[in-house]
Amino acid sequence: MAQYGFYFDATRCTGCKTCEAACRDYHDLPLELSYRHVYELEGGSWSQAADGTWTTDSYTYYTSFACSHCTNPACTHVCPTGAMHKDDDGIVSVDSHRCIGCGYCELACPYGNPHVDRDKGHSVKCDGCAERVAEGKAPACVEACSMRALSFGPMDSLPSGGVPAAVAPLPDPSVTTPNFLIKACASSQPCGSTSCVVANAAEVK
Amino acid sequence: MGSGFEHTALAVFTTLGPMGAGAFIALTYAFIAGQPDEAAAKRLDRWTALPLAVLAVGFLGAFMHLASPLNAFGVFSGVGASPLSNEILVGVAFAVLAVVYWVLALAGKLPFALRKTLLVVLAALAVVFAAFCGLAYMMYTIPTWNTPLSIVQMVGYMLAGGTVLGFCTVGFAQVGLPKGASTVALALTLAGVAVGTVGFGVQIAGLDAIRNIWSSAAELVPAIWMLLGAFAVCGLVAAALTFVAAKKAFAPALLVVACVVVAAGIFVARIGFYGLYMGIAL
Repeated sequence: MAQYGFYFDATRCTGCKTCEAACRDYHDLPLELSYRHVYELEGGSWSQAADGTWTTDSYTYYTSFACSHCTNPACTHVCPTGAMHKDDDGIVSVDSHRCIGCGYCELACPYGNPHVDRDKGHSVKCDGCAERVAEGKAPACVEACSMRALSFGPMDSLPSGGVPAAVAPLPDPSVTTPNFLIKACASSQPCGSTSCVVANAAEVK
Repeated sequence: MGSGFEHTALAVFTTLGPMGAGAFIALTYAFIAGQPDEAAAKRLDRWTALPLAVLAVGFLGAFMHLASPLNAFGVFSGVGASPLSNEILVGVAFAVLAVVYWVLALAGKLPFALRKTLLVVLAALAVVFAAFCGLAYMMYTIPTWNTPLSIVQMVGYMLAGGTVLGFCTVGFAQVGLPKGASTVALALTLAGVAVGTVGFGVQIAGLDAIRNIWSSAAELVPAIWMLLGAFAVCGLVAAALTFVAAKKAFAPALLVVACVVVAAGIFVARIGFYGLYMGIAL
């Protein structure tokens, strides 16, 4: 079966975070948890020329991401029980009956996706809204995006223009080979860039 | 990122688990060099419950860390692939062998040759267990932990804590040891403190070179050098107490204090270690 994945068009995203809200709503998550995050990255500066005029190269861009359903996932690598696994369609999901809630997946994932829900007794994460997809629908985040900046489906069916996600604040795609394509915008900074800062730390940290 | 205290249960495990296991190195020395008579051996066998209890409390910490402890047996399905499974496998192998040794010893069915063999194997397994405790944190997506120094410091903590606990056990059992025993106790404890301090210290010194979108790793735990210092001081105090106790026929009261002090030092260092958690990107 084809590997499924997400696509994000940074040239369209306005940072409205409806995708986050839709994710939280559909999965009935508490306010402090979402399987999708929108990071606001800011950078640049103002400089004054000799004639007293000011110019700026300041910028803002958004990166919306959930689980990258990696080909080489760090979470499945460290999972001691095999509960964290890749489904036939390449979606990384949790077998809640096998999960012991040790939290290693949460520590290891460079995309910050799995989270141990102690009340449920196991890890929870983005499963690409598997039930919706099985009904022929798009994941909640994709459907909610008013700018049509998100897509989901077999990797070879995703919109053109995307490349394996390689923008800040995400890790270099060589680390886990994410099935997550991004169409970068003009302001996008490369992975590992320290020239930008996360402007909405209180929301996402 | 966090303060490290969110992993308190794991810190209890990585403090007491290797400490309980490491005590068998001192017990091995006590039986091989001390050659205790039958009565003394019996006392020492009874008091072997002490390191086993410490080991059990350590495992309880690991158990409490899980969100679904009742599924815990599932960890063995990841043996070979998951560093956590490997760690628990080695720890459980040690615990099972240690309990078998203890039961046989208490039952009086342990000829000296077999006792010696089992003790040497247990002492070696204690080192391997400590190493695997460190290895479990070497994940390529966590650059602050992904260093062999994570292993080195665990071996140091095991040796420092285990030696003090082992000689404390000897003290409770009132087993006579050869004249050089105090030097052996001091040397093993100091070696553990040195290895632990160097292992953790070099790791801390390398934090400047690591950063993610949030900060430099050196900013994660501002008091990290203090925490390392606390371990070193606790280790030195425990070593001194052990040496003094050894000169007084391994006075158990002093050694109990030494055990508490060294365990506190290791625990503080472990909390610091967990506070150094930093993802490769976020």
